[in-house]
Amino acid sequence: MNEKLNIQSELESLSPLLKKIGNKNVFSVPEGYFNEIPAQVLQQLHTLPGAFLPNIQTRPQDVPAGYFEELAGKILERVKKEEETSAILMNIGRDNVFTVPEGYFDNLPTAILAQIPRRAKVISLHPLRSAFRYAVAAALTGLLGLSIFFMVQKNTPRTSGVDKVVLAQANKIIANKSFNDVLNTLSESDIEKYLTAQGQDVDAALVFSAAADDNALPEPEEYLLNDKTLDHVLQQFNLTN
Amino acid sequence: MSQQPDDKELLLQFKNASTREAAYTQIIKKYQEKLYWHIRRLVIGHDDANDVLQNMFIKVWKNLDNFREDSQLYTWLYRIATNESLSFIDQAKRKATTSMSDHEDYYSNKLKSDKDFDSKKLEWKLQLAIQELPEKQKAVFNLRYFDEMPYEEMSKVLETSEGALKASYHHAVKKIEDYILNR
Repeated sequence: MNEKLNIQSELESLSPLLKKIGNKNVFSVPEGYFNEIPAQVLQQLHTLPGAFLPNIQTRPQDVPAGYFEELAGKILERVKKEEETSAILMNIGRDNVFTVPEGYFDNLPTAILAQIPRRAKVISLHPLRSAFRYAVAAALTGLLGLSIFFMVQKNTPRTSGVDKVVLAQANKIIANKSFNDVLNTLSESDIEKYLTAQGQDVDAALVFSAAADDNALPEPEEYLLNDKTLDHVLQQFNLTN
Repeated sequence: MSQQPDDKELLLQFKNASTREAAYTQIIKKYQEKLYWHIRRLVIGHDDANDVLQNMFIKVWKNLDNFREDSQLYTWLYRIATNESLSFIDQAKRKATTSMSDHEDYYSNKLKSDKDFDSKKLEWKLQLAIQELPEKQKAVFNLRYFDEMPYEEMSKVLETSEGALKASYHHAVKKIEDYILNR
């Protein structure tokens, strides 16, 4: 009953129109049709060769003649053979016949480590559409805002020509709402330098930026269809805590 | 109304040669209507639905000994009915049509040829809209909308995850609504 209500309320939320139409059956069947079905099926089964033969199953008695009488003897024979083989192996001993070049094991860890590629920053930030970009954008917005605030607050002769240019540019960016366009013109290294100067964890930002690229994220529709989608994404990136 | 016999009991009786036929008759009686309507909504015509239903019950007879009782007989039967219907549709389309547009119109035309078809009635327009869906999505929509099947059970019938079924049903509802409102 609950499930029926769930289905109805789900439909109501998706399409009140379909709920209104209702699930009335539009098709009909010939009179007495359902009464005849079992007999018709059985009648057809009777025409099928072998349909009523007992199901062939492997039964315990279906074993070669004398199988159980010989079984114990055969098992003992195998045990004896294996014991004989073991005795031979015991006599041979466990001396290693193979050798390795001198100092091989001493140098092995270094040789392996040398082959492991250095952690390179191969994660591309282009196009700058990731969470990294927005994190940086947020940080830069703050910086910009603060700079403007201090400039306006102080309004001292220290406001040099350069400051006026910066202020004018900042006002222009804010007025045009072209922050993203301006951000796109920044190089990766500029952003990294800025984050480093601000004491931000560049690696963490890079990893999150890579993980949260468009391909790794579910389609927007999935967020609407499944309440758990956001939880899954956060768990995937270990961001629930 | 007489009480429906328990599936476990029926399966037990089916394994006994002396009660096999009687038990099978009971199984057919118990599920025939639900399965028939599920098949009918997919293949549209009564004669086709009857063929698919009888063929599936013959297949069930042959395989019931191998049925693993850790799943429900009901969902197993629905699975066979769905697979048989989809395979029937596939074969029918191959036989009857040559072009893609023919494929799309095949079942709409079948619907329109039903003796009760009434283009003015919303119920029939809904049926026409359903025919626009891909076959499997059609099955998902019918199972949820008409049979009111929970996603959990549907997942066993169609061997698809609950999440995918939910998404498929939601898409189907939107497509159908769009069809009804705009065509």
